[in-house]
Amino acid sequence: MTEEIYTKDSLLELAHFAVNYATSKGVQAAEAFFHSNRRLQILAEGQSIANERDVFEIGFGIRVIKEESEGFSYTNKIDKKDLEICAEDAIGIASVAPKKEGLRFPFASDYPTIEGLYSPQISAIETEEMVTKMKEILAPIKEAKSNVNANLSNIAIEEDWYGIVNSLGVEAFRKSNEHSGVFFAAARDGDKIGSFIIHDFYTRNPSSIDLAKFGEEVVELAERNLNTIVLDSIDSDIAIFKKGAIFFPLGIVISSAVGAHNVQQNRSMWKDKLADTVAVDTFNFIDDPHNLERGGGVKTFDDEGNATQKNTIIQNGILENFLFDELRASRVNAVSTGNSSRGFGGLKFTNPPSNIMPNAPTILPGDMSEKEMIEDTKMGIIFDRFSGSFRTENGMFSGVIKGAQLVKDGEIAQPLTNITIGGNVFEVLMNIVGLGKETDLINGFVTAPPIKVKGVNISTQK
Amino acid sequence: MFNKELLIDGLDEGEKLGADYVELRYQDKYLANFTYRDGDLDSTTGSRHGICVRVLIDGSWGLATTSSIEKEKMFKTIRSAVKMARSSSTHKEKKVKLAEVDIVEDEVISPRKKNLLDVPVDEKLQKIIEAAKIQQEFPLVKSMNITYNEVVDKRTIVTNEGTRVSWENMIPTLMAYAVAIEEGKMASGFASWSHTCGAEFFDLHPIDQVVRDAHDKATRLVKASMIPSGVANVLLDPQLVGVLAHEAIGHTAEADLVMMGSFTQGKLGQKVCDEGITLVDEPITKGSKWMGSGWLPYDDEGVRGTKVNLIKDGVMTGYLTNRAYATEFGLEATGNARAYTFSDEPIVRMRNTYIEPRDLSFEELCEAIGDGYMLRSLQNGQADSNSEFMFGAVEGYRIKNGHLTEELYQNPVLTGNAFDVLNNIIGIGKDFDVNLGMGFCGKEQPAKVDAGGPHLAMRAMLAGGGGN
Repeated sequence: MTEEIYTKDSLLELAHFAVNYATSKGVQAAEAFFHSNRRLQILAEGQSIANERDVFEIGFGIRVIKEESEGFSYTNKIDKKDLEICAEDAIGIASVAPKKEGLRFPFASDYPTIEGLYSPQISAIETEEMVTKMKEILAPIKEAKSNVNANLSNIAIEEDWYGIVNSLGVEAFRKSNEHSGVFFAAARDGDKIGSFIIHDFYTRNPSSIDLAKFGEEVVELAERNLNTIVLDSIDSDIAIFKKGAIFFPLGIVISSAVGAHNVQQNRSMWKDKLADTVAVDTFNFIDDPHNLERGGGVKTFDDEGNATQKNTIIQNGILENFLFDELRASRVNAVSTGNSSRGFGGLKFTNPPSNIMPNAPTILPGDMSEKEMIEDTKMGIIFDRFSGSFRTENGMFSGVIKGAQLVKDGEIAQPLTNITIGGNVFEVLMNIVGLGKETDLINGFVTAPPIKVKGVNISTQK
Repeated sequence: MFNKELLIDGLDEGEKLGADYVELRYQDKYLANFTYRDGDLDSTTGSRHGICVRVLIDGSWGLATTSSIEKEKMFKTIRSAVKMARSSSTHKEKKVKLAEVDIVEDEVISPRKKNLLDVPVDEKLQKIIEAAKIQQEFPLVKSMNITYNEVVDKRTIVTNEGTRVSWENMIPTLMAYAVAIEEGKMASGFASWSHTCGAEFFDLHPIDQVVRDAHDKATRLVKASMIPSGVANVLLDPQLVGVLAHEAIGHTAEADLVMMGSFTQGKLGQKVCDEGITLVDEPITKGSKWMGSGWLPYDDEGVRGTKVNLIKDGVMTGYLTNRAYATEFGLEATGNARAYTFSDEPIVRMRNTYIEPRDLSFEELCEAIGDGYMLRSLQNGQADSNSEFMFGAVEGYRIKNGHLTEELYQNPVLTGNAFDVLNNIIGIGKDFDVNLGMGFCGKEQPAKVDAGGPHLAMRAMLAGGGGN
């Protein structure tokens, strides 16, 4: 799908050109990273198809080390002259930047092979087929009892090419594609207006998605929000976190706390907790980047060219490992775990690899079904979206629950609104009383089961 | 090198291929970002350019983009857009009709006293490195970062109706963040500023002052507890009033969300809140100390921006539109169609959104509050189609017997239904400021927006995590 004028070989040749040009200017080391993205999207508005988009972009990010200082610049002008200018800009920045202790680039290594990252089935999907798919989703939305409307919703196929070359011998390339969809929808019935819902899918196997069922789920979730009530009070500290409510705040806080950059810079509450108990003994958290089921983070090499690997981070509640990139590993005589990141989503060539993130964060399932979790709850809340504030450093969160349902006497009793929640992610991990045995891929990035916790502060207000 | 004539050639090509309406937008966006983080300085400079082609055929849109400015590649992109529109037209149930607008030829440069790019990079880096030394004065601060970035955004929009518009905006943004630790407790403080302006920004907001502000907040907040949850009298600072205006009201008045069934659907001409409230979205701010960073003389459809009173004296009086929604609602196109990069589609977005000031001093507002809380500095905010909102503040202070005290709470969250809240106004201040800091709006794609207002006292719900 990437524009036919570019090939793997032509892009790698340009990357080598940029690296050679930079090194010819006397830098210690140079790196050229490229990312191309083509996206075919069908958009929905209201209950019908809005329009179609065909979007393509490619760019290079060039990073250099000069006298232990780092410089980075990027461009999406793809010819040798512009790459020279980009390299000059990076060198110019490095010339005035302060020294960065321990700065180094990776050496060449062997990369794993992941079958199925690129699906010919996806690449064969044409616009007309996408339109048919969108119509399948919209059919139940049109037939809904209430007035359900989607906005800024889309289904897409995307193809990404990533490559990196450095002056220490790294040369890596991968291409991947995916089929995804995200719907923002709200129901309205006369003056009753429901809170909007977010429902999404992500797959590398298009035939695995039942699009009509997806559309029915959009309707069900949106209409559920029409029938909420406000409780006078709620006497419970039990909450079952699901899907989006795990992504924010649990997934992001945990992922942040295990990054070596935060550990080394006093921004992690787990700084001195290696080999300590940080969660209940049923809690296991891994980075699983070679498992195709794990979504958009599945990859063979990280954003600075180190091979990715499966990392056990929390095992049976014990903090086993932190995640490293090359820079933070060098500072403590460790080895990179393949977790260098140029940011989450978007076009990565515009950012240097200065962050550390799990590639495919995964909370392993437990042994309770969601039904059993509910049956085991006398009074509590189950919810799938959190709208509020949280601090990655100290784990504090407070805000509003969206998609909340009251659980009473072992059953889901009633959708709720005006429920607020507050707590601390690090305390939540020590207060888990149930882990679901089925997992969801959340936002195409975090894999997790429903998690039942006690000890959170739940309030309601009329 | 980009030349406007290239786009004109593209218009001809689009028409030849049968498009009823052809719009080409070229964008070249330069970004420099310097982040100092505990001794490490990450520096990035770069630019992205490209062309977005939109065509309308038989009432259906087709959009395609390219990062190339070679004529043949642009023509190929136009063919792709036409293909998309033709495909779409076979199943489009509601045909798009664009509102009539003035045909404009204009070139505009955002106000500035000195070009940011005339200040050498090493001078900017040195300012940041010097300011970082302030951490030594705050022993509880164990980690900090300073982020400075500058954007120079150049756009040219041409249409086959004859519009030829070019503009250039320049926005510096500064943010300082500090993490304090004491006895196992951790808290963060931050401060940020952003305006449409030039290098005079460094005089308006010296980096060392902003860094000191963040350190001071973190040091105080680490000793603070969480605010009690529940309904209370609350005084918001202008930045938080801006978030209320943007998140809770403004989004519900964006025509695409109105069409989706937002709270304001069918409310034009109706009283929706306290009659003291007038809420405005305008393309170029007037009356504030600085130029709001939502500066937008022409939108990405080439439409001249107009000031829109969304609410006037408590009555719903306007929606924000693009050309298609203007037709749907029988309104004027307001110049609110915005795209973040060349590869984004223009969608309805706000610009500078604020509540107009009234007549109360800060002391009078505290007195009107009686017992309650004052919330300061934006942390984050979100809103819903039914006008439910939440936003997090950095700090909260107790107001007792009509006086602001030093009793401090960390990260209070305000929530509720925006129109209920604006029907429970206790008082509106006479001061006025527009500054969302580093804030971006994240509706499908980022947009640099600004917002503000006066201090505002109201009755609202706090979700503090500190118990009832």
